[in-house]
This record gives sequence, C-alpha cells and structure tokens, in this order.
Amino acid sequence: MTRALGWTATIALVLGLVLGFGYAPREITQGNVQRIMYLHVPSILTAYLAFGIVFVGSLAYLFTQNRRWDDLAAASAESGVLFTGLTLVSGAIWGKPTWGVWWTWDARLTATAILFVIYLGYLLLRGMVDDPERGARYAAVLGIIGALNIPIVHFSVLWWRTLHQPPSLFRPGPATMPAVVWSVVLANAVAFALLYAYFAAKRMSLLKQEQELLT
Amino acid sequence: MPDNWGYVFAAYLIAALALGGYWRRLARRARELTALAQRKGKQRA
Repeated sequence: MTRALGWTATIALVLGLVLGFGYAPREITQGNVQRIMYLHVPSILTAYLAFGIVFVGSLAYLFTQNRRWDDLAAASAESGVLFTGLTLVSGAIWGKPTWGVWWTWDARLTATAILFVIYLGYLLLRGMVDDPERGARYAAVLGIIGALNIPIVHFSVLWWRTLHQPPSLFRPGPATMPAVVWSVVLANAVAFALLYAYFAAKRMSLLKQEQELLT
Repeated sequence: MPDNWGYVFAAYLIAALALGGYWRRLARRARELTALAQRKGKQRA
C-alpha cells in the first residue's frame, strides 16, 4: 500500500514538473522565474495539511491516549517541517530576483518562519523527554498551539500591509490567476499532498516498528 | 524582466535534494530496523 502510494506520488510529481515547465505559460512581467510558484505554493499548502493533521492527531491523542494518534502527529510534523523549509527557501530564491532581497521581516515571511521554528521545537521536544508518554503529551499541547499559527500565516497578507502578494488561492472573492496557472498549481499541490501521505505513512510504520522492537 | 533560469533551477534542485534526502533517511531507517529485528529474532531462537 505504502509502496503504491510512493509510486503514485512519483508519477504525480513528474506530471507536475511537465505541467509547470511545459504547459504553464511564461509569466509576462516576471518571466520564467515565476515558475518557482509551482514549487513554492504547493509546498506551503502541503505544510498546512501536515500541521492540520498534527492538530487533529494531537487532539485525538489527548482525548484517547492511543499511541497511534501520537505517531500520526509526529510523522506529520516531520513532513510539515520539511515542506515549510522548502517554502522558506524557494520563497527566498524567488524573492531575490523579484523583490531584490532574499529575506525581509514582512508579516507573511515572519509568520512562516515562526511556524517553522515552532514545529522544529516540537520535534526537538519529542527527542528531549525520556518518558515517551510524557513526551507525547507535551508534544500534543505544542502541536495544537502551533497549528493555531496556520490562519495567521495564511491571512497575514490580508491583515497587515506586506511586501508579499495577497493569497492566490483560498481567499475571499474570485480567483486572481488565469485557469491555466491555478490548474498547474493545483496539480502540483495534489502531487505534493500524495508525497506527504507517502512520507507520513512510511514514518508511521517505522515508529510502530521502533516501538515493537523496544518492548 | 530577465528569465533568471538560474534561480528557477536552484529552487527545484534544492527541493529535489531535500525531498530525496528525507526519502533516503526513511529508507535507511527501515533497513536498520529490519536488521535489528532479525538480530533480535536470532538471539531469541
């Protein structure tokens, strides 16, 4: 099952690359550097998904004390940190030729960096506490608090005046992008979501194996 | 505005390295756990 998911994700990623470089048109003002969007936007959408799952898994763990919910949250947090890191790096690379700077303390960028640091702390916390039950409980609380930052990241560009453009997807009102562009963004977002599902499933099975070997 | 292909390739290359690196880390951990399980099985036998 996990292997099939991995292959599906790989095929979807290749298809996403073909669409991003072969089907999507050259943007008229930014030129081809805008193609970074097909990596940047799907990365942050996948990070939202991963941290949303951390939120659900953490809540469920606190209510049920079932270890599998904690495994789901831990596995999702790892992928979430990876995809948030990719968002920050690809954003910096896109920012340099278009804004003239790699980084600026803009509300969207700062909120995303805070999200990254919170979940990096979440992963460190898991490794720091010796008692697994207690570590899982602390991590669940941090996982829930961290997820509350997602709407702040997403709507920061509407709530504050920022250098970063307003959201192109999941925003009030009609879409601001032509269909040919948002359909490629969406295709890549699906590919990234499949990759996240593969990573999380694989990591969960490894966590289960680790627990079985230790007991 | 120039196309800045170098920036585009750099972004996609870093993404490929990061995602590939994480995939390899998971695969290596799976191999380690399989070997550990086999060793434990042999010790019990």
